[in-house]
Amino acid sequence: MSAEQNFWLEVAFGAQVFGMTVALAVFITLPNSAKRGFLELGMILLVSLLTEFLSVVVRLVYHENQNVVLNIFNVINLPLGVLFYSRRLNWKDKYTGWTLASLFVIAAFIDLFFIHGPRIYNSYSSALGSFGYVTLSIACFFSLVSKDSDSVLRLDGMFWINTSFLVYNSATVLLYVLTDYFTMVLKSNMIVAWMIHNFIGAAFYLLIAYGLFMIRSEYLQAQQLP
Amino acid sequence: MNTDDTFWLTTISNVQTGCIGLASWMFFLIPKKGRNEFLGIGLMMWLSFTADIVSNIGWYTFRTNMNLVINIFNILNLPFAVIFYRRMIPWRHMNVVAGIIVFVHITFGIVSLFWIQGVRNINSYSYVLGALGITVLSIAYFFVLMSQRSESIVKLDGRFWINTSLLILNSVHVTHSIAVDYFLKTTDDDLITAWAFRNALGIMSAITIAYGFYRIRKELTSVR
Repeated sequence: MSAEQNFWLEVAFGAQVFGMTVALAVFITLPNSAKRGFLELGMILLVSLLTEFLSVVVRLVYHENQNVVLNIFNVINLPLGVLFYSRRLNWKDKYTGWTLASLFVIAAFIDLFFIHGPRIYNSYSSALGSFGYVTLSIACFFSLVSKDSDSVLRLDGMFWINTSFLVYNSATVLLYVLTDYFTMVLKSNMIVAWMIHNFIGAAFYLLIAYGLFMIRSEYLQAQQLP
Repeated sequence: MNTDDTFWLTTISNVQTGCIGLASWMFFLIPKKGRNEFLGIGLMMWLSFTADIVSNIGWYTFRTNMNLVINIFNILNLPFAVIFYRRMIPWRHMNVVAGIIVFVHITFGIVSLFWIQGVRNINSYSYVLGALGITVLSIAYFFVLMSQRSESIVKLDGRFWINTSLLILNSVHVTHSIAVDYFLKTTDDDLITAWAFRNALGIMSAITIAYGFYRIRKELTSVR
């Protein structure tokens, strides 16, 4: 790894953590009713930030492989997303969300213990998670544009949150799919790929922060209405 | 490149060409009255289909470098998308914005083609710029669709699927182009696997656009 690559990887990582922190800070300032409505998103942000923090500690303090932390995050990430979207999509069967989340957790555990193992990055479950997010956000867009929603409130904020999920996950899904190829066939250290991933991540979290900020304004405005 | 890789890449890219051909043909199934609205997407599909055919003929018959055709396709792709979105996004100054986007993209595309990356190499910089442009336009169009949701659901489904397809395909192209460009420069690998995945996604995208055209046809014929 060259010094220049290392520098840019750290910059991208810092930018991503900054984006996460901003998004989490905006979430914390939401009114309580909004916080309850977007609880799963808040948990995704919190878990993401904790994962980054723990991976740095594991890497720099204990000089251990950080993939274990990232793999555990992968197992949790999509189930939280499914629960977040299941509220927006109003599935007829209330168990659909839990079923999908459970199926993903089983697949992710199989990857974690039997395919890649805990110390190698679980690219299959990451790719599956991204694919799941893409599908959920398309479904959410379809619901946003095709039906006359009962309330205009929260739509603009949700638009930006959904856009960020769709763009981030479609942009990164191919990187995850090709991770094994890049590392095993090309013997690459994936520094540049992760750098791209982290810069896109920074934009993703800032867009979520913007969406949450809009939701906050919408809720505060609604509270002031007579 | 081993035989197995070649087989898969050839198969996937041939299927992709077939699916793009299908979408190009589906465009003509839209009634004439409504076809004008989707002209940009129709042109994109036909351009893509022609580029695939010409580059394949060039490669298989004359063993010429395929990249020249792909680079020219890339320069023209965004302007066609802009033709579509300019009609669909009813914002003030949209014509000016569309003009600026097209001008910047074509200028940069030509500069990159002749002076930066060259005619025989994949022009990844202009590819990234074009993909970013279409991604932003499709997000803007989703916003428009959302704000128009209460007006009419007619014609919405087809547009939705076309826009979704363009958004996902171009978001993927941004990261793929940057990563592939880097690995082509730093390794000896020809990145056949990476291209095969990209083409597989192209298949899904073309099928989604074909489905979008089908929905539009159905909606327009049922309105009559």
